[in-house]
Amino acid sequence: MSQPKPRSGSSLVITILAAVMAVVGLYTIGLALNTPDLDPTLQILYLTIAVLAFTFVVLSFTRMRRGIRIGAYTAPKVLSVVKCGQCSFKQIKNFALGDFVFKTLGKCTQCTTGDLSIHGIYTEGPPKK
Amino acid sequence: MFFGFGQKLQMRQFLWEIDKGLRRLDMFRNSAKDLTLKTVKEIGKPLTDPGPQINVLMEQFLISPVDMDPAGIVGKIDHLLDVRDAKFKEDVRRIAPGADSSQVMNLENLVEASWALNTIYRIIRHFYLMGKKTNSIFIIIQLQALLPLIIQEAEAYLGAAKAFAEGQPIGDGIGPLVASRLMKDKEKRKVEKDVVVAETMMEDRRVIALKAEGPGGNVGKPGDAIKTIIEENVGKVSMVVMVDAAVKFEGETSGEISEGIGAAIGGIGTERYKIEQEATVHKIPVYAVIVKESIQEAITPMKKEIMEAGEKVIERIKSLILERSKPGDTIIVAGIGNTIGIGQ
Repeated sequence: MSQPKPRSGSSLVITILAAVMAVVGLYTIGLALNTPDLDPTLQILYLTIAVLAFTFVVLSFTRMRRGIRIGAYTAPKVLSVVKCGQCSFKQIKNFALGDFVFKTLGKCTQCTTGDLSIHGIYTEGPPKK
Repeated sequence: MFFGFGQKLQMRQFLWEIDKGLRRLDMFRNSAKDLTLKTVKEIGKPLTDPGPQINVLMEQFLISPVDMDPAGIVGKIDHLLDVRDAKFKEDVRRIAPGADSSQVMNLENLVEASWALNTIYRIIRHFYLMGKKTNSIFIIIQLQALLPLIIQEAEAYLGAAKAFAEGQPIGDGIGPLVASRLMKDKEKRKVEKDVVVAETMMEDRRVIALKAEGPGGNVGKPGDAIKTIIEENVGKVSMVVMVDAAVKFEGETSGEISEGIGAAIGGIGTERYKIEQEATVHKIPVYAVIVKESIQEAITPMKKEIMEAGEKVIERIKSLILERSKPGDTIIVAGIGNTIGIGQ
């Protein structure tokens, strides 16, 4: 059964609206500062509109940036620590399918007597976004 | 205009944000479902298309027992969970006939992660559409406020799905990791459901370490196992030490160790109940050593600092048993958590 999908295109509308508000802000600030013999009440009104318009622009862009920062999911790099039970041999390799902690991997190439096994599996640091 | 339509405009903006979040949740659940299908096909070698059967599993539910008369409810919940677990395992085994028992466990965990993502998406979509239909700003505001946290959790589930698909240890596996280090090279035996036990000596004390059987994704039934071990030793156990991952507060460091009293075990509470019950009957003190991590870290591949905390936990257990027991005593050390990617 088909399920209703959420709509798309919200950030485009906000960008257009922010652009319109920026134009309105610039126009009203121009009117407030450059009109000779302007009534002080009208001047305050123009400045208020300009402040509101610029606030909208700033808020909408900071909100969008936060949205972008969440970003897409990136799988972290997983590593396996291989150690020898007899000598000090230690190797860190990329995790391979089928690896698990305490899995025996055969004889040590360094001392040739000890068994190599996976001592730990981990991921380092937060995944890059 | 702002006074007249301010609320409407704000609601419209919130709806846009929820839209965006819902699309991400949809993407997450589709990724997890695709990954499940791909893994089942690769590992399970099914003879028919597993898609429809996976869809059925995705919509599975559990009806909790009536709690108007709470006496005996733990047994009822435990029985329901056992039935659910057995059915789920059987269903996965049928979908993936080519998988071995360890891979079946991993696939079961993978299907559960996909189920969780599907459920999150369905619930959020329900409230989103409900808010739109009723034009209720209160539903919309609550949803918009909670959405970043829900998306974070969903993202962690996607990470968990990837870890389960490849059989990588997750942060929650720190308890089994510690137990497996204690039982390394010792003779192991199976007790109760999917739990392995081995005996070792530590500071002249007899330590019985237990963990869920790995390396398949599994938590076992440590409550039943601890009960069996106490009964085997006729109640002569001087203490139980439980090692588990615990949720940290924001600002705390991952991999930090903390010590406390009580049964450190999550889940619905049935296993904790059994441990508390048995410890009370035999007057056995229960201590907890926890490794702090976030919810996201607990279900995604194990971080280095969490893995390194394992050695510190063993040192902490040593000092705990030196302080709280005498030489010759019997001590149970239970590694609690999902043992995926951790053998014994």
